Amino acid sequence: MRIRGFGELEAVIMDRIWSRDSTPPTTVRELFEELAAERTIAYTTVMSTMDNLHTKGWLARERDGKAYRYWPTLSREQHSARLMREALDGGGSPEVVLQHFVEQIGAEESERLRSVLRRLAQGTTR
Amino acid sequence: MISVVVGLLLYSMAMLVAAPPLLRALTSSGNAPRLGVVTWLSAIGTVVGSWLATAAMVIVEVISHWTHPRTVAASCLARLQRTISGDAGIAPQITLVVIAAAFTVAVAIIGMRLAAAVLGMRARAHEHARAVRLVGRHTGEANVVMVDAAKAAAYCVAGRPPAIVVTSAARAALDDRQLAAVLAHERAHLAGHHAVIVSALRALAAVFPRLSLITEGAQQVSRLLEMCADDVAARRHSSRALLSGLIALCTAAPAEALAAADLAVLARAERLATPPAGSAKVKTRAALTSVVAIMAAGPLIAVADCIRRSHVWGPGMRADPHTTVGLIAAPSPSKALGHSASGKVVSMMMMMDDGHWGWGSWLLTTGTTIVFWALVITAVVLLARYLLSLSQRPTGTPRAAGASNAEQVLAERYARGEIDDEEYQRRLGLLRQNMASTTTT
Repeated sequence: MRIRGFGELEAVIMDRIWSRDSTPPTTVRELFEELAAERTIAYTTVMSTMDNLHTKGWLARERDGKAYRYWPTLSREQHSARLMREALDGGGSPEVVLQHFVEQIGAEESERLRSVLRRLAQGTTR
Repeated sequence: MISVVVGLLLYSMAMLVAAPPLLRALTSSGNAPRLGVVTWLSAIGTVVGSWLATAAMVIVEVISHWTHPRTVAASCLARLQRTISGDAGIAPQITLVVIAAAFTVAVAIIGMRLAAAVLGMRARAHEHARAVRLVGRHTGEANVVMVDAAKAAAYCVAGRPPAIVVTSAARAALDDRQLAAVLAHERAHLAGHHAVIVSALRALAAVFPRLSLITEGAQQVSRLLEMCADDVAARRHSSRALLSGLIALCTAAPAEALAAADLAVLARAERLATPPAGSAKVKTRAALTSVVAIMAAGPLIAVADCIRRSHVWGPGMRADPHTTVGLIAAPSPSKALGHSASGKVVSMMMMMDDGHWGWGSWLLTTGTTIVFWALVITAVVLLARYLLSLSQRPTGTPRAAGASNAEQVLAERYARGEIDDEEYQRRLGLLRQNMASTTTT
């Protein structure tokens, strides 16, 4: 797999960290060796990316001898839940501009809407 | 200068009052969504532009008359001073400083608030796109990520790179054709930079929450942009795939919040089910194009009209020997102005210097300007109403119109829950039979 851009390497690293057992926390060396088995990548690139993820709050770290050990601050599920709250419930007070395919609607309205949509669906399939 | 400012302000007032209902009526059908967006944006753009021009002109005027403060102060305030206090003792330079500072500060504050709002929204969107790319699973398609969630949703968010998010529930609810159409809809949003338009309008609406032209414009434009994206997706795939995708996502999982959204979704669904007729599209386009043309010409006409009026004052006053003498014998600042500036300013000056061209004539001319514009706006509204009625007139035969009316009433009763599925189907069948028999006989 080819990595395009810095963001994608971040995604790959987060994916690796989330999918491995979190105990004990990972070092840059361990992760680098895993990744280097599949692609050509520089140790320093992995290190700076993980450092970056730490400053952005995605990874927590603790010094262990000469190296840092990293672990995720939140699980993938917790992050997903936070993002979906932001996207679907208008979660945080300052809004994010998103273009929803269908705006989120109330249960009662959606029942009324559904019945009309069913009528339209019948109209098109006829 | 003052006349230009008055003209622009009158124009923007007229737009603030007349534009929202007119544009709402013209764009609600969704017959020409892209042109509808252009119309709303040019309405808002010309209003904001005329305010900016007004502020800029006032500031420039004050600065350029810095060495002769009396000329501006005289033209703006002399009458005020004379009528209210009968005292010209206020230091003109201080007044000028206050005016210029007030306008500069107002423009700067509004500009900064707008910039902060737009940049904040942009930063939050980019952050969301980045986070969603880290959390979501990448699919084969560029920029499309899947996120585990119980709610069915699909949306796009601007960023570098942008992201289209499909929740696992939405993926489960859609088949491949529907998903392709939904993704095409979201790609159209990204390709058209719709997020930029929406965030600029939302920022404006946040800064001017009381102006219905802007707050309603923000809503209507979002709605029309959805229709634009629908059109692109329907062209690329098919309107049936998109409509069934829409229905599948609506029926998948209800969520809380927002009540007005369902009407917008319904309008989109109806548009996809029965695309607007070509003739209706042409008429809506004609109406919208003429409105855009009028709005583009509006500020120019307003300015030209006011300049013309200020020229009209000129000869009348020149005929008055008293004023002529006043001009010739004027003290040095206004003499300098008389040599350097255009006739319009001279005429303004003469008006100030002369006693009986005071408040009365100003009120008179402003009054006629307002009446003139009221007539123009009424004509435009009547024209637009007429064009609108043409575009909304049912294009089918009377029979077809009658049938669809009856079916609509039935569908509405069904939608309100007054009749159940069976009853609806039975009545619909009867209606159709009835209509078929009346046409064959």
